[in-house]
Amino acid sequence: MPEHSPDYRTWTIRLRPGIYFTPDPAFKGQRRELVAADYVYSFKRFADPANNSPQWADFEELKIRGLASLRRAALDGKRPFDYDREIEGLRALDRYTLQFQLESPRPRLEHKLVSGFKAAVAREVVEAHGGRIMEHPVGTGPFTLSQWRRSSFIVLERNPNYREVFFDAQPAPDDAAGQAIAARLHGRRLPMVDRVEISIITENQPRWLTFVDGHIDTIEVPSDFLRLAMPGGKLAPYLERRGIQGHIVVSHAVSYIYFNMDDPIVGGYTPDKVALRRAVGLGMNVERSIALARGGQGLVAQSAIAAHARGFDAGFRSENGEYNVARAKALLDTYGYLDRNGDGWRELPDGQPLVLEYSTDPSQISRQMDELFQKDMQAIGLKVEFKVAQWQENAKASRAGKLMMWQLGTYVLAPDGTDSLIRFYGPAAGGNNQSRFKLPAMDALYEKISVMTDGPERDALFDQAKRLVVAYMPEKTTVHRVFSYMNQPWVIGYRIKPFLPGWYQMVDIDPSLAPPR
Amino acid sequence: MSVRRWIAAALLCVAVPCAWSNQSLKVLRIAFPIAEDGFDPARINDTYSHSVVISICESLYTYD
Repeated sequence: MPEHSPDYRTWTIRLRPGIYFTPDPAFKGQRRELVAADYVYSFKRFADPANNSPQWADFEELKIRGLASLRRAALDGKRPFDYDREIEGLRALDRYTLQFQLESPRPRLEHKLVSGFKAAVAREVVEAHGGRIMEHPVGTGPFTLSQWRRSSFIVLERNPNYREVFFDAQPAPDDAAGQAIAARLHGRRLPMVDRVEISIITENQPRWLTFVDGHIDTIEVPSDFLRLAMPGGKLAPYLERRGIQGHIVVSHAVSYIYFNMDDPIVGGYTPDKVALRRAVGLGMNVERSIALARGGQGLVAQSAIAAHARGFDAGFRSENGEYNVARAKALLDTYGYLDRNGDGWRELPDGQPLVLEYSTDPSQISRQMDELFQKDMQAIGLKVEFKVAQWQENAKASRAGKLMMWQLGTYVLAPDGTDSLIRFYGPAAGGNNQSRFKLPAMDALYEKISVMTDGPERDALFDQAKRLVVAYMPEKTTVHRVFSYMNQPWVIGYRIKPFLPGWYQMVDIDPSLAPPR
Repeated sequence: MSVRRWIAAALLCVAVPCAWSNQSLKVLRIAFPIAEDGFDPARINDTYSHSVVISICESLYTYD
């Protein structure tokens, strides 16, 4: 684990010597060891404007001394990012020692270093490909990329140069399934499979049938097949007979609908605007949407913080989790959203038309959820107009602040509530903060929570922050996502756990249980 | 070098009947419901690209 100064601003991390990159022509036949300077380089790449990294907003939050100004120098001077300029905040002290110096305390720095986005790449490889390594990843991990047909087929092969790593999971004593896996696989060298073949099958039915026919080994059961596969949350007998295993997991993903806080209709901080958003929230029957559109899987969200993260509290209750048509109507009446012209729809308090423009995509599950949303809003007299576009187009328009309302889902990367609360942090507007919510009280809370160590005092601030979001409702958090996963009987050790980054190296195939391929 | 060894083994199998066939290779076959973007850790943001990248490149820490 990393060492830190008492004020959590200086962090020193020692790398294990003897870890090597897989061979690549860029290394000119030399064995290439992974060193601290590789992480310095890889992390600087987030700040390089040329990479337009989606990770920058999040990484910037670490407040690494000198990194933001290095980025600014490139942007202002319209010149290439200067990777060679050493900065105080991110240095290799020697071959194996990496040091961070941060402007603010960050007691949970290691949370930010876990995800695969923070993985090390080698500068020679990046430069040999003109900075474009989307199709040429070279690393030190358990697999290498051996084939890639874009949007169709990916093949990973066992990395024969992978160092010795052994299966060493430490499941909790009350985790019977985990204990059984650990007993079976303990001490095995990783990875256990020789090859991973990944097919892209975007349609739910063919993907599900491919699994049922035994041609793929694991699956996240598509929501429209849940009733068939997991009726009442139990594995269907016809699957059980074949030895298929099912696992239901409360994930660390949440779904939400955000309101653009800069929008003249749904945005704003005055009581009438707050009332409109809260009425929309109260008018949404999330439980029914889970039952009908998500195959019964999901937990109604009470707050914006992801399940399993610090700051999440299963006992927390708030208006965000409430469905109350009478209260929604009363709020709208009180603040003057009335149907003045008798057309059946409420108008704005000044008599101007009130239409909720709701961005969505053409997928079947979105269509189902949209219909339910429209019914819910109709019941409280609010007119909805859907703006249909492909997800990627919506994402782009959303970052530019051009959507009024949009439903999306987020996986947080670390088990801490700040990863969820960043959605309401003013300086992250346009990045993780897609609603562009800007409230000084919220920013102050977020900054305090970021620098404090874990404990009851910090948890109390999480509570305040959650209540602030519920009160202003820049988003209606709808669902903590629950997923059902299944595996064929010949897959050993398959478990999807929240925050688990990679699992391909953790499973084995038992050929004695598999039909001949 | 390792790649060359693989190719050599594959050629051998074509030339002479041998026990070393695909069946002795352990293959994990999975499906993504959404297409991947690519595999540059600094340029991706989707969970599927991420799950590939984290199997090829390594971050400083991992959870159990």
